Amino acid sequence: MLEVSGVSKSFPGVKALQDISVQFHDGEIHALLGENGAGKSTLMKIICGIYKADKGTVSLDGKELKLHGYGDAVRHHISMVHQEIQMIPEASIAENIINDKIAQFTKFGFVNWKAINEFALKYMKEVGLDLPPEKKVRFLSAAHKQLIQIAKALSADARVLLLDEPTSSLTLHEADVLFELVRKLKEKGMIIIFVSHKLEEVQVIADRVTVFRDGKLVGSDHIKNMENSRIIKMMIGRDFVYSYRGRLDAGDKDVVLEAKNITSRIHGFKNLSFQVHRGEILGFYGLVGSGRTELIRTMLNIDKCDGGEVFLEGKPVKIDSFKTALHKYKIGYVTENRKEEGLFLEHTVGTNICVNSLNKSYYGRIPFINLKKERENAGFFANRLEIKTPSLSTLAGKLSGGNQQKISIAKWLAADCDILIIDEPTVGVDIGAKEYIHELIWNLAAKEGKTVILISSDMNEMISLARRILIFKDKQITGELSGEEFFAKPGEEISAEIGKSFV
Amino acid sequence: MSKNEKLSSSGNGSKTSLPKRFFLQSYSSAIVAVIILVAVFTIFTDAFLTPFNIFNLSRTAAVYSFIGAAQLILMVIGDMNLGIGGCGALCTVVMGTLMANYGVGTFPSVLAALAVSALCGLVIGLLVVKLNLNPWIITLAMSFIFNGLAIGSSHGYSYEMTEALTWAGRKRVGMFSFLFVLMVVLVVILYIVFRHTKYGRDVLAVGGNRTAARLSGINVNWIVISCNILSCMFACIAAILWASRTGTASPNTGSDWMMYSIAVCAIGGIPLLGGSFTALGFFCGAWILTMVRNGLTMLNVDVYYEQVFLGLIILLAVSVESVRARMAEKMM
Repeated sequence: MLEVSGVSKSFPGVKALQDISVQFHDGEIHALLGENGAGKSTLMKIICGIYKADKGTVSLDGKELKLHGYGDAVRHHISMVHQEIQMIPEASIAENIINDKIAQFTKFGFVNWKAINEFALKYMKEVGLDLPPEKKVRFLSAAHKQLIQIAKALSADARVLLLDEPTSSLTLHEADVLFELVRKLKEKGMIIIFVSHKLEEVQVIADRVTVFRDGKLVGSDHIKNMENSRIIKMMIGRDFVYSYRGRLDAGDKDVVLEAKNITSRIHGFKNLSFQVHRGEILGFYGLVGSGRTELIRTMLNIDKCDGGEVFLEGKPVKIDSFKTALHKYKIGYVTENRKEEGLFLEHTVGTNICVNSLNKSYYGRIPFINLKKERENAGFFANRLEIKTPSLSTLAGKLSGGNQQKISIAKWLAADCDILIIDEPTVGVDIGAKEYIHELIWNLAAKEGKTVILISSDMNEMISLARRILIFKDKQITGELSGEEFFAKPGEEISAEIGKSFV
Repeated sequence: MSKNEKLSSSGNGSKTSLPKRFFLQSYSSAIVAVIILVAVFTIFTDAFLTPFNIFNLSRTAAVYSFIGAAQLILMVIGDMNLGIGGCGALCTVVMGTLMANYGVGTFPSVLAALAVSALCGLVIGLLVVKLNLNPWIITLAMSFIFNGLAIGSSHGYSYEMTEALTWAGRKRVGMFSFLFVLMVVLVVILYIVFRHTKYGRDVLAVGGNRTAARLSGINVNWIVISCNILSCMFACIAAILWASRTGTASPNTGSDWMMYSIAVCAIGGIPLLGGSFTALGFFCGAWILTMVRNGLTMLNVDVYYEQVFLGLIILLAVSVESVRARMAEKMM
């Protein structure tokens, strides 16, 4: 039995886990559930030694573990199959399986290849992987890479296997193969911990479910007692104060933006369409990879668009690059990964705010930037969005997540965008800033008449802000929820409703 | 509201003292280095601060500044051009052939060389953008091609330069060379472009974060191509200045430029990863390199060992700057 007791963990500004106690039994598949940032991944990382708990203990079979890093966890028979699978792409399957115990296969510094391949083959058979062990990992599918990771865990004699969203990049069939294997391992008495977003697969595979919310454990029970509606309620929170922000009179206004039959070969979807009205907040609800972000990126030709039409105020327009979308059609896009795609972390706050509205700081008609004007413009938006920064010349990378997010919204306001696409605005943002950003998004639509497309996998966020929600699943739009009366209902009823069309 | 006042004023408010503000700037170590070098060479040699040597230093520094600028413009976007020497050689030969073999006037020959360099840059830029290959490898390959064309078409012979061209290398402006005026103009233009123009800001943005730049409506491909063109054109200007300084156009021009161009930028505190630029640092970088080479000769350092000192001074400059940057970060 693996026991976690009284574990707490804080990161600067966030309490990631607070006093968590759970038991993971032998021969059981234990699913951890929760929204983004609820604490599941942090707990996994503490169990396998990547993070150190601030307080509390983890013990295996009654013995307390004091792990120093992941390598130490593997020596204690705890292995993790990571979400973003980390392997050496240029090395063979066998090399990837044995790379942490290559010493066993060397004599006088020379490697015994035959022994390595035989060793690997044995464990590859165990996970049902029928491939030559010399094959380079680079050529393999995500599913096969995962099986290799499991084979590697088995070869390290793992008792505890942690699977972090293992099916996120698998097809249905591949997921079935994986589940089959996981069940087999469970029957051998292994402890299997499984993090997932997908309720349906949890129902199929898990024996026990533990739900996290905001770093706290809200419930843990046998799967028999956990219907989907109960899990969803736990994930969203019973005591959640659902602030109905009122009506957003947009439904009968003109359609500002319409996308018809958008098709993308790289993302693998066809003929997705939607409409947005002026002053509306339209929600795109779905998990990462469900097609919500992909649809936007394809529509804006950030990723190649293979077909479809876009209409602005009824007129067909051609968006050949994001530059056109921004400067000609005033569409702003707050990206999901603000650090990688949104901000210039090594540039100042002021530069970041003004980066796409430099022409507003010109000396009159002469196309030279007036630094004073630029500072004023940046200062105006920094104040308006209450960006907390020591000064405008502080580097953007130094600010907290919430303030960075405010910068990435401010820059589109500075560029006078009328249509704002906002992708996961509150991931990695602390609660205070989250509330502020919600209020801001609401006011942009309600008071300033901006048109907002809000992409999120956070149900609270959706219910609180959007007045019409498109539900994305497996690269398709599977449902639409709309109507003011509907959203005036109590939060729990709505979330149950969303859960229904989602599961 | 106090916070609002703070935000609307400039970053380093009036409270910080002048020495501290100087220390926080990334060019401060380069300026201090210039001062120290001038002091050391003046004390230990007789001829360092003589009018002739100042004239001489100023025209060499001017050439190095253009060699450095050729690398700088690509360093700022996080790329590199290994072909600037080759491009310089090719431009020299084009100019020399036109002047010496075809009797074309000075001005048209210079224009032709500039056009050729722009074409070189365009080719590199298109290859980088369209084939999406690593600029190091492309510019390495191109440098062989440029050099081969230069040597092949000239058979290794030098060309005599026209009177008009060497005039620029001999002309004095006050105590400095006329070429030095061009260097000052270059630095001032770079300063204005990176601070006050949208193009310069876009270049810095591309260097800071390419994805974010694209998602800010910046045409990243155009920036990459245009920076490659500018890089080759700067290399061409450096070649012209070099020819006017030496009086001959040798196809061996540029053989050591690649190293020196990186040295100028590194000493001047330009980060290899791109995204930032300081005009003053760059200006000092060219001077430091020039003074070190000149000063070492005057100190009677064995010419064959000169590069050892050069290497040591680059290491020193870069480590001092890195310590300063770390300290400055703590102070902010």
